[in-house]
Amino acid sequence: MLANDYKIKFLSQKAQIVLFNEKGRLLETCNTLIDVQSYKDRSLYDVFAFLESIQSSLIELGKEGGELYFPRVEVLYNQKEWVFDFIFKRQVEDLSTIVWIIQDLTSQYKYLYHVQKERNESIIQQELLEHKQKSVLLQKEIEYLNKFYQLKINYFSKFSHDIKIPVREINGITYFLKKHINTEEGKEYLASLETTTTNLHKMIVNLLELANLSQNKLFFDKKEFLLKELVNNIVNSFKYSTTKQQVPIHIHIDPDVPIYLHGDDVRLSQILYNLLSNALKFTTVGMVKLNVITEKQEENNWILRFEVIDTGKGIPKKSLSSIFTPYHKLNGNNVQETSGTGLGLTIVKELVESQGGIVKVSSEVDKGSTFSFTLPFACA
Amino acid sequence: MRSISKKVILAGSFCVGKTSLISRFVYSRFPFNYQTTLGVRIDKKAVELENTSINMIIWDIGGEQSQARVPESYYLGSSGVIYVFDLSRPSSFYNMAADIEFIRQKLPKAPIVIVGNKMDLLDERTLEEVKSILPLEPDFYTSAKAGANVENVFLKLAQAMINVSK
Repeated sequence: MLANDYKIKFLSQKAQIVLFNEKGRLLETCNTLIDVQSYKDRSLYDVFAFLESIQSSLIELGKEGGELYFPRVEVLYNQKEWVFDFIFKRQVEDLSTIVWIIQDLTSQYKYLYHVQKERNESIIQQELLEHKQKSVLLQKEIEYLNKFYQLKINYFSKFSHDIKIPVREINGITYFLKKHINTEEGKEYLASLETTTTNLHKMIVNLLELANLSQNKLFFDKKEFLLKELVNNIVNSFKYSTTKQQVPIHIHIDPDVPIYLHGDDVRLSQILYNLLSNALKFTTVGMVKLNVITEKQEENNWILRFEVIDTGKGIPKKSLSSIFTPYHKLNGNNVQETSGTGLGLTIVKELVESQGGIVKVSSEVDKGSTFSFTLPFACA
Repeated sequence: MRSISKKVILAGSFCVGKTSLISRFVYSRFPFNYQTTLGVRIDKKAVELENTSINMIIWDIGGEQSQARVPESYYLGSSGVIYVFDLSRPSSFYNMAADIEFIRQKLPKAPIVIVGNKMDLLDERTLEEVKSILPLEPDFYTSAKAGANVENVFLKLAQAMINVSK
């Protein structure tokens, strides 16, 4: 046998040629690899999903030469995994005929399969290693920052405690001064002084609260309370607060939420007050809504979801991730927007998470925000 | 009922779960062993929507770190794209915006459904953190392992393809 004969014999076992027309009708096949002959009475587009999906591309296949090449097509045929390269071109002698060349490269690609699999796994291993190294570095950084943070909190805690008493005294003196000042101008100055000292007092209370939270000095009470009464009291408190309420607050408590709950009512009030106060501050038109929904219930244990929804100015997406960090405040031109300590949401997050809950926020600029949190309660 | 056939491609980085999503959708099973897709595998499943039977011919394309490395011919004639990334592996979504832009240039009329897969590997808090760093918001968060949202991904794409062909 001549070398050329060997070559022809070898190649003939590795390739199949199929001729078909634009309608998918089989014209000729050598049937070496795939049995196409059996489908001589049907359109090949109806038999092979691959051909069906590229039908339009085959019809558009250039009549001035050119070809379509699909490497590494993995096919399960006769219960064996094959990897073929497909080439499509027009027959030079008859342009209405499409030539489909099927090359069997299963053994070559079998080797490549292992190389590729190992490469992918090694890239993932490498990524994992980098993550581990980064997390070790971050852990060290966190430890250092925690020490620094603790130092700061201790200082703030002592400072806030010391300053609280004189501020309370200023408040008292301001109250008594009211009786002695009769001029309009004097009354205006006094009103400003009162607002300023009230805000200063709030700031100190918040700082002390945050210090307590950071030092794990908080204890959560477990007592029975009426949820509806608690919610109504909070909403009513805004009518008399210094936060100017410009929009109504709508309350919705799902009918399946228990009337009496066992938990820390003071902390729940604090969380709701902070969120509602925030919502009112940033909402000048529309409304603020408070929803209470059952998230999960197992026997006497309830997880409730509280949602505070507003139609305010919203929060840009880039600010959402840092909104719960201390002293975070949105930039804005409105004086109201920059008032406050910037600690309210941090306290909310700490209070919720300390009780095993989760806080979430979603927002759209100029449409509004939704703050929600879950909290576990017992119910008799 | 009218019947139409549409070619759909699943694109995205390697090892994000493209093959598993198809396996869950077409065969209702999850392959527990990792199988690398070398080039392309083709599957088919028909869904019925709006009095139309839509034959989805699904091309499962081997994952590459960038879509620009996928053979050009694989995109030919595609009517819809499902772009998959792994929620637990940031490197699989860092290039998402560029990949989507690349696909849009190749297939300007094809609707693209973006999918964050392997949701089952993340707890709720971590998922929220991952969501905040994603370059683009996905249409679905899925778990091929648990079967969560998988059907919805393909149905949404099928609906979008019907809308385009109206």
